[in-house]
Amino acid sequence: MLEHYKKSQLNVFNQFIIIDKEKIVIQNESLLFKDAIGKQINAVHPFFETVNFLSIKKNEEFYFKCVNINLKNQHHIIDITIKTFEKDTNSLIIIDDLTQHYNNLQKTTQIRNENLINSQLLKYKNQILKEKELFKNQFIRNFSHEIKIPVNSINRMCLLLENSNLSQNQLYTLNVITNINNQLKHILNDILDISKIETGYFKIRTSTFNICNIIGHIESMAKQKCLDKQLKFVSKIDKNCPNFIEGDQFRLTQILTNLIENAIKFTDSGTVKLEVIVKSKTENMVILNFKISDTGIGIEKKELDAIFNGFYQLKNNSIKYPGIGLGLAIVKYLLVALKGNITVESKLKEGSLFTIALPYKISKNQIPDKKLIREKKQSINARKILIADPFSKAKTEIETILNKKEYILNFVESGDEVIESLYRSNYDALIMNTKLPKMDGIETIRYIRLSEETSFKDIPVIMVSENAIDEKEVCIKNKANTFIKKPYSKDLLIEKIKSIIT
Amino acid sequence: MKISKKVVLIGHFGVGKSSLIRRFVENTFSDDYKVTIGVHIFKKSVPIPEEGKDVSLVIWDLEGNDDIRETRLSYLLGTNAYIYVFDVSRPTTYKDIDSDILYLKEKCPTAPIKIVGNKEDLLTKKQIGDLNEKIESFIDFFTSAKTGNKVDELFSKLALELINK
Repeated sequence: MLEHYKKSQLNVFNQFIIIDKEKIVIQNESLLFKDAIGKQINAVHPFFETVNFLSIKKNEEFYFKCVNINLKNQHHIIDITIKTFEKDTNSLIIIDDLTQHYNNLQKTTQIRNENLINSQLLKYKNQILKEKELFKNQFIRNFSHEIKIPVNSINRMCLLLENSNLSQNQLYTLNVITNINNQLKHILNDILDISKIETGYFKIRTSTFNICNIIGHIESMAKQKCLDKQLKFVSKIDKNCPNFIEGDQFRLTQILTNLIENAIKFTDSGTVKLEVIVKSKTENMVILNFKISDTGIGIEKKELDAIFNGFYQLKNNSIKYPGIGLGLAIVKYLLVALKGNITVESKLKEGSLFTIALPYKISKNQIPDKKLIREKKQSINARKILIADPFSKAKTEIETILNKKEYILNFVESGDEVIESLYRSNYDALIMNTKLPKMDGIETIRYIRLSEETSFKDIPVIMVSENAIDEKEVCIKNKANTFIKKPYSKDLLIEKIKSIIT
Repeated sequence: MKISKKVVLIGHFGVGKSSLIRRFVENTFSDDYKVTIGVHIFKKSVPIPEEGKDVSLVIWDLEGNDDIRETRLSYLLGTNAYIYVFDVSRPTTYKDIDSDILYLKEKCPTAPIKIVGNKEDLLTKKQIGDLNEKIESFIDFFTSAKTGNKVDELFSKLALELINK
């Protein structure tokens, strides 16, 4: 009985074919290849066309596993065994129909192969993207470097031109060129920074520095910029903050400057605030939170993630607040390199708060910085001076001479701007070149003195000119408090300022 | 007399061997990838006008492997020619090309081998040029089963070569 069942079961899946030495089918079971008797085996299926070696090899078995065939629109996957014999010239072909078994295998292989192909493609695409990124960054780095050389040359040439005999209008135009060139230089530096970071040329330089000192310098810069927009700038340092910490002070300054400049840029009225808070502190380490808040235009929630992408600009504001959108991208990159992080909270039309957290090693030498405390106190009582000069050289000279802790300086370039600034803010003194574009210095002081505006009509004024003989008398006649001939010494300028400011 | 020649397509999985055959035999193409297990056998007669003959190509479409040494040797018995196919968009499929070709030459020294970079439509002409320079072995054809580019040319050239052997 067992034999009977076994035979009937096998017959469903097996087929035996016998062919003679001429490769003609002489016996056949009708499982798959039906009506084959009397035919050349080659004619039964293309598979058999290519097994010509049957006539050569004797007493051997050949196994062809997993052969896919289509017979009468039915797909079968079969194993084929071909046996040749030593003495017998006939050959035996055994067909095993394993369609179901192989179909299951196909499903598994399909999933495996698809996963492998996808992973290989992703790996390759990633590699190509990395190569492209590297090429782009190297290109930008080289390109920016090459552009910086002519940009610096333009600056030098502008300085030379400034000292030649130019008319007022020419000087004004030259100053515009210098300013635009400086903006270009700033953009190039940003692009260079990004490419340096992305190509791995960025290095962290650790040194011991005084955090109050850094904040003091940033405060001076910020106050200058806030003056232009009639904004208030406030800074505050946690009293638990260690004086001396170890880290990259240059990059910290860069991060804070970028964030504060952004805050000022997007704020039209109100306050920009910088706060340093000790987030956590151990014997050797401190994590500082730097909070930069403003009362500016704010950022829409959906834009909060995108603002840190390179070249991103806030929607609907790119015309009013131009820029190339690299500042925050640089901040983000720098923070990653310095193992810090940044968060941002913002409400549209109310303002933004950027909080950065940075870890620092606490320096072992915590010497009280008396000089700094003194300077800080002085900065509270600093005098606000408005300087009107169209020459960038004059700006550099005055900035070098006047101590930033004692004086808050605001620079303008024309008589119109002097009047506008005086209406917007109170100043302790005005230092003004007689040569100003549009409304010159003499006209401007005349306007100030004839004005009925009590906040500035009596402002102490120092007039500056290269032409002492002709202009000193005119200046004094128009009620300038004092006069200085260019070039002047550091001591003379300070003496003159002190003489007019009580 | 009709001449019958066995041509084996070999290469990594997913490189488009089955698609090349389908394009050549049926002039169809599908973007869906269906894995080949074992072997599929197709047949197509190729006229050789120069010789006034037809060659019947019996094309064995072998399942792809990470390593062609894993191919069942019985599939290679009696092979008249090989078409080694790789995918131009997947370096894994051509990184071992030189040693793979050596292996095939060892197994069947007399059978001509055509090396084919398939899916050429996925790369730019420049990328194809760069790839051609990068691979040491001579690439006979850059084909696209999707567009049909160079597919007929590949099989016709091979058929002509086989008839003259």
